[in-house]
Amino acid sequence: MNEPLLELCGVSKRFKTFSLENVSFSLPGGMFMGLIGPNGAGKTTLVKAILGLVRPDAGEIRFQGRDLMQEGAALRQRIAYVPDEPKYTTGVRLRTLKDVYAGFFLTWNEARWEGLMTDFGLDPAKKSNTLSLGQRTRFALTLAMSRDAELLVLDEPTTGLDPVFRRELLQRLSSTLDERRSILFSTHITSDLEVSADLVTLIRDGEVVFSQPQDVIRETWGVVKGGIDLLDADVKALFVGLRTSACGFEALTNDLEGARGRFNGHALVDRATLEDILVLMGRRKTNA
Amino acid sequence: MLNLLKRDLKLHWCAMVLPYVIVMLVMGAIVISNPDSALAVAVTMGALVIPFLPMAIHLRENSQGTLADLVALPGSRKALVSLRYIEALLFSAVMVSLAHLDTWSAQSAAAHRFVPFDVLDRTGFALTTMPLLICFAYPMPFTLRWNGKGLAVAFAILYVLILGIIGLMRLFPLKEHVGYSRAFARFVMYLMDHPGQATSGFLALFLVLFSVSYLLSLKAFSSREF
Repeated sequence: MNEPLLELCGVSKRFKTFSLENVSFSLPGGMFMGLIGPNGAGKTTLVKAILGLVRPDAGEIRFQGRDLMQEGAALRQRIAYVPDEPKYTTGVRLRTLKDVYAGFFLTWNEARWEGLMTDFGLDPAKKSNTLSLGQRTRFALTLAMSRDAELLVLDEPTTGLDPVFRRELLQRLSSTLDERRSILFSTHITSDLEVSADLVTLIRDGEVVFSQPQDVIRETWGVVKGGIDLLDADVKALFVGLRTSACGFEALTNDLEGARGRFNGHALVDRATLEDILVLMGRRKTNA
Repeated sequence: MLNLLKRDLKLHWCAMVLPYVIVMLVMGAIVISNPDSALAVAVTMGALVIPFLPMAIHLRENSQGTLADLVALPGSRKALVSLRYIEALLFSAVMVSLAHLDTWSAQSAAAHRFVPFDVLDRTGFALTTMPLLICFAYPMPFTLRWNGKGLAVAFAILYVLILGIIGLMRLFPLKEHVGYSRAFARFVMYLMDHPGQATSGFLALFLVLFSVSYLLSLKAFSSREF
């Protein structure tokens, strides 16, 4: 893999009701990383920490080897950001908002912005307060994608978008990747990532569960479905997530090959999708 | 910094121009009805509103949810705080210039000739604008840290302090026939009679308080999370 473009080492942040605990992962250049987790897992807090909106209590966030907390003002020239709910000054035309925004960046590409506005079906003469959530997100994407930013941070950008546009967007984002450009895409819509993401980081209750290449996840993580009679203490210990019903159980394992060997013919063992992982990890074994 | 200022001018021009228009109309009415009241009244009217414009812009950003995006732009929080203080000075300078123009026009019109510009009352500027800029400096750290709630708390503290001072004045009156109000009036008269001292005194006070306020604002805003 390439050198890390973005690196988080032991990032912790405590709030009254929630805390990020010792979060570490790295995003190499040229990679599309999906940041997944249930609502309230800490994805947005993590994104905000990267952008300097939240100050971690401990740990380091490095971008191209430089400390983002110390040099964030300068480094944000190279980081583009799309918030989960973009907001704009009311009553201002999109062209004016763009002019203001573009003034902050050295690598602004006007022709690309105009092309994106056309492709995304937005009228530059429209006023910000007349836009729907989806249109606001589209506009934020035109701003973020019209810069030659090396890191594109997207915080749940597909929430207000229709499925057709979502797919187009993901294809477009993937095509912008090169050796030095990466994308950090936070979402809880895991289907967005199944095809596009090279790496996936799962965060739950403020802790990183894993940060792995998607092909490793496909080879490692599995879903086991079988009858209740198979469940004893030893079997339960194999699972990192378990859900039971009157008909049987559905469990998550991080040892797909081992599970195939053990349950050969007795239970259905298959690769886990990101959604399987998210759903089954969301429940603790003890709650089964 | 220039980008930030341009941003404010483009996005909040309406919030800036409207107070100026109102202030100019009121000032115009005052100086036309009584040209001798001169600059002191006019500047006071303007200065009451104008130094608070940066605070209004900050509160507007916060209420519209764009403050976090502003912080996420390339630029330090120090630059954002500095912007608000520079705006306060800049807006006040524009206001004072307009007030001079307003008064000069009215006096010239009343005299049916162009009054030389240097006869205008400069003491009024020192006695009104600077203290009012100090008034701006006081609630700014509160506003940057806690927005509208901070501004309200700042004024509540000021109100309690004023009540406390009035209470102390009642408890510890000055000698008979002297009284605090008479002493204060004498002090103001002294300042009017000694514009040089008044201006330099206010300037020194302004510089100290403005600097303290700026440092507190830096600390308050840098600890904010969005």
